[in-house]
Amino acid sequence: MRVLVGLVLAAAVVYVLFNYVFPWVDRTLITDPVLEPALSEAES
Amino acid sequence: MNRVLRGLGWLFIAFGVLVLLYLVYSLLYTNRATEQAQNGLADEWELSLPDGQQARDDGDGDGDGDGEANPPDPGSAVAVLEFRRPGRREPLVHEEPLYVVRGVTLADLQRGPGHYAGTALPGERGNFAVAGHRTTYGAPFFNLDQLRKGDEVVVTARNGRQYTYRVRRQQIVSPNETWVLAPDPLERGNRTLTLTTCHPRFSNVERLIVFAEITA
Repeated sequence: MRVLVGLVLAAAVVYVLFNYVFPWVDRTLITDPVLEPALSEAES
Repeated sequence: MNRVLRGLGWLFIAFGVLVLLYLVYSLLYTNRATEQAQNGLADEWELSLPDGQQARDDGDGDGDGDGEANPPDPGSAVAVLEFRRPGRREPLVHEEPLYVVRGVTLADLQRGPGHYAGTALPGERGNFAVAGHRTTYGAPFFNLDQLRKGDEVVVTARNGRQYTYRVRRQQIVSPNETWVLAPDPLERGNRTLTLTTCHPRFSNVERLIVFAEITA
């Protein structure tokens, strides 16, 4: 049971990392091809 | 003391796992996601092209370009980009044609290069502006700096028409220099294509801009 809970937790952490945290890190620090005001207009 | 050392050890292990996960995300996951999205866009594009409308536009038409008469469905590609250099057989910038999606949000650019909302469509009067990742997400513009004056960017619009833009110059700018998206950034009165990506690679400190003008 504990192994199952651990696997589900690990999967949830990876999901959050891959879909929210890493894309944000990418866009903020690593790779952003967009001119900034244009991006804020697009996302507003 | 032992507890502190053990805690530090776990902290380093967690950091190492995080870095490994980021590498998997960056080098495998994002590229694969974009590849799948581009394949889907390519299939949809083939199905949507009107038969017998592969006419070539050399830029001396009426200036309406693709226009809003044939607006793309949300989520579908607005254009296809291909790069070539006269006399060169090897691929330039990117091996495969690039399907340009609508918009430049995070989600849009995960699927491929994105068309800046509010800028012209392919062949239209004004500035057809496109952003693309230089690293991660398939890195469509990884080699954008290969483009030199005189290279050609062939843009296929949704109606099947092709427009050839000739590269005028590259420029490195700050991320807030939105003048590059203006309708006539080169102030030469020509229909323009502007490609933007991050610069240098693996950094978002600046933007690499490539300007091209439609061939006359």
